[in-house]
Amino acid sequence: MTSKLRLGKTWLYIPLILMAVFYLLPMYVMLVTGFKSFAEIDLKTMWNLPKGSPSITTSKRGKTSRPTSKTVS
Amino acid sequence: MSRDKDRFLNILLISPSIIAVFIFVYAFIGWSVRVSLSKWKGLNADYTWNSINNYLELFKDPRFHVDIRNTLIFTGVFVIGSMLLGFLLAVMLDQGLKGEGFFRSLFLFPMAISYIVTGVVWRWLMNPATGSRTSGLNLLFTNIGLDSLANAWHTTPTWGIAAIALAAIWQMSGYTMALYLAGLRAIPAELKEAAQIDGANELQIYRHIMLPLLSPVTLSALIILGHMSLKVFDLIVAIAGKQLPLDVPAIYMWQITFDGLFYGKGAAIGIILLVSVAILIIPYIRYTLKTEAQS
Repeated sequence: MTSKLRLGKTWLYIPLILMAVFYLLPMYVMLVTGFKSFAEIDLKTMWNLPKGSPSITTSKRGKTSRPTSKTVS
Repeated sequence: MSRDKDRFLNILLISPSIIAVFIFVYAFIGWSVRVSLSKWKGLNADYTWNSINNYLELFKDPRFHVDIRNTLIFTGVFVIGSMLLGFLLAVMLDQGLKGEGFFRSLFLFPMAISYIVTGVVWRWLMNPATGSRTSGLNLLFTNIGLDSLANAWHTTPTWGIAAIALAAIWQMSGYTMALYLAGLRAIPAELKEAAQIDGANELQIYRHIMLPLLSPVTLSALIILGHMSLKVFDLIVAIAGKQLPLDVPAIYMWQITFDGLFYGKGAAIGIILLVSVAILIIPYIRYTLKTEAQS
């Protein structure tokens, strides 16, 4: 009985996760922007991860030609 | 004898707060009323009697009409949106799913963020630029192939203020969810079980048992959200700056008082805001005091 009820309610995760995305999007932007340098903050690249220190460079789409990122890539 | 002494001591102990509240709340309200009835314009105080002309001029002012319309749209979208979303989230979280705590904290978290920060982030998210300058949510929509969802957000004529309400919903719906969740948890399980035995389905249980029992929560949420939306100022300024299509009374008050130096008119807008909030709040406070006295 209880397991059947549980199974019937699993679909609720779909709206919950969708709503979680809605709540997380602005927080993601806040957090990611907080880790960026002033030169890196640009509306065009607001969804990209911060470049950070050269050893953990992750972003490949950033088009800003900063000297540090140039030397790495 | 000792009773009189107790009484005296009680009054003595609460007198500092009574005096402070009287001076800093009621005396200043009274002063604002007096200023709103004066011709005060410019930096020098001027208490020349002007009757209710400031109010009459405001109600004839086209800009104030825009303010009232914007406030009504904002309040409608924000209050209804937050309450619907909050209620749905609370009902979903009340089903005893795994990870409930995680979702609960996640939905409640935006409340911990200041309106200014929310405003700045949503200003980026709702950037209305098109073409190669597309950014924010519009860029995200384009990238995942939902181009049709991209829109002008708060720069939409007439309904732009609803986009600001979206940011406010993001911030406050978690709080409404917490209110409703607490209300749902307070309802005894027997009521639900009895309805189930009587053959009611989930929808009927929520419609005819949960919702009526939650009406005090609904009232509280309505009042809290309603008075916040009447006073909205910082969120709009942070997202869009002070621009006329998104004007609300609080922004008009700021501009007419501190940029235009029409102190009399500014005070009049302040009093109108105070009265509109009071109309909403006072019946609620009376209701709460009454129910508290009964229980």
